[in-house]
Amino acid sequence: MAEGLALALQPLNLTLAALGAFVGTLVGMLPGIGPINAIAILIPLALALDLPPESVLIVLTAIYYGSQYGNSISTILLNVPGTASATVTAIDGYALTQKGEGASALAMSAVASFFGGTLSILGLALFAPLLSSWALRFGPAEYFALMVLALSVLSSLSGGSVLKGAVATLLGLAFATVGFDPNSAVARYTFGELRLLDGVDFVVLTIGLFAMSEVLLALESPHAKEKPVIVHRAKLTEWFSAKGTMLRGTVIGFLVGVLPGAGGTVASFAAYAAEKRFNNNQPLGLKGVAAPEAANNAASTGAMIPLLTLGVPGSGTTAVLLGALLAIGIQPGPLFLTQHPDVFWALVGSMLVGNVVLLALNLPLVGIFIRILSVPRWFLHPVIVVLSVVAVYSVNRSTFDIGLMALLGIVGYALRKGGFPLAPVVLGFVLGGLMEKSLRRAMAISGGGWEILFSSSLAVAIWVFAAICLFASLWRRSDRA
Amino acid sequence: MERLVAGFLFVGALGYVWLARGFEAGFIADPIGPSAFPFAIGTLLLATSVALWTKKPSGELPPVSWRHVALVAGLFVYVAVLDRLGFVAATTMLASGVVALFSGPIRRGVVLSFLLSLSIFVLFTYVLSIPLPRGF
Repeated sequence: MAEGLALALQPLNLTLAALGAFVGTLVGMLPGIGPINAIAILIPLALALDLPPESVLIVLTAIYYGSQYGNSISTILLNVPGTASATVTAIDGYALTQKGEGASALAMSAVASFFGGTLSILGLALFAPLLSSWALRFGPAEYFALMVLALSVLSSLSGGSVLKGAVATLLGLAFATVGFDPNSAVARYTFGELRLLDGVDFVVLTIGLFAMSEVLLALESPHAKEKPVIVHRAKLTEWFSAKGTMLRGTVIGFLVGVLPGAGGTVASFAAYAAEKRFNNNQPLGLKGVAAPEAANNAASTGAMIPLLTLGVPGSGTTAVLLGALLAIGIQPGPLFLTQHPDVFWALVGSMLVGNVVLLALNLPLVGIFIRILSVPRWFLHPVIVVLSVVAVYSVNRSTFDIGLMALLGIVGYALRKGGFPLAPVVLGFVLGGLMEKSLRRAMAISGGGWEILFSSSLAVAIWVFAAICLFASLWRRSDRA
Repeated sequence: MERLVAGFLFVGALGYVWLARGFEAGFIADPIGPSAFPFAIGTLLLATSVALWTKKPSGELPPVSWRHVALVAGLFVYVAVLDRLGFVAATTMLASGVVALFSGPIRRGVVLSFLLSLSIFVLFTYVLSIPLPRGF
């Protein structure tokens, strides 16, 4: 580890890390680009510089952390989440911005990301081989149970009634079934429209639901004055009081992040849900930012475990990272840890340095980022509209998606006015495909017998846990009403 | 507002379930096939929309104004003209339109919209190498 750190601390590598974190933050701020695309776009640039392998790793991890933080900025300040896990941050983060406490939320996000990132890297260094065997125990039946657990428990957490949360989740699940069914080659709900065969893109859905509905909401009072921006200096005590939150978020995020497929999204939702229960459903405020941000960063470290020990990328970002590793001549897999310990430790070192650099860079910059909000409303909203359109267009280079985004904006606006939470729609949408796939894979294994869903002790444990959580939330609500 | 949403949901879910019945795989890929999952979701949606209808509504009706209609219509016009006019011209028009909807200063708004569109075009085309429509 010392060697890896020493390598990462060389002046060249430190400069590269700072540069990567900064560029990553800027690109990540663009809505819809998000961490995956930021890395995918910037990898060729990093490779073109002809750097030694360790330096490439350092630049890439720094870009990754930077783009994640940049994504949090647009989520917290503008309510435009670029990834599914950021939709959780949007719940309390944007509420804080509306109260004029956006600066504290941004600082909290930076601190929590750092906390979750750093702690989970230590976890990675200690438990990598152990955890990869745990992830292997998750077959399709366990996955399906896990999805049901995630959806049933988490749909009720974003405030409001259980019924409305359920409606929002089901709506997301329904959106997820649009497109070409990979198992049977049947086109579902495409209405003969070829451009729907690939399904609704995630970026189109979130930008439509969140950003467009935000502008529609603002149009209700077109002449409203800007709220004064309070450049509130976040205090050490605030961060300190969230240390338990960050710790819980990190542990949950790390463990869930190891599971391929669900990773960051389930991790941040689960951490938020746990925090909500831990605080007896009180409003979370800054803790509502700290929990998902710590969990998300810990999950992205956790996702490294299947990548490095099994060679299986569990998320879009690690898949892109795998491509980059292969490009510099490193093949992750079961033998990676024994054959390339130097690269492993260099990676750990670069992740640590990336986290530190990001914190050092972005805490002082909070005061600058927050100025985004002092842009007058008559120009801030055109900027949101234009950035949304560009983001949506650049996914498939299709104008059709812009129209789809406009329609989803109306849906999002109607849901918001009716008091329906938007985050469960996104969760249902993201997990829906995986949920159906695992169910059908399990059924294919058992030949159609439903008993396979309860055939392992792990699956049964998840089902029992889901049932307990569901009944607890129903009971508590009827108790209060 | 909840009743309105519930009504739309009910009709939508009915159509959704009805369409789900028609999905048939040309070959047997797995025991439950492509229609079971949508069918289950649709049925649950129907049930929840009925439950929603029976609840006492709490949300107010949205104050939909001509500005809302104008924004959505403007986006569809944008879709229609983007490829022909090119990104910079079309986006300048779109952004200026939104400035007008928020009653911003028109002349400054148009200038700023043009600068915004131009800088995004340059950023995407030359730095990120994501081509945007040039027009004509």
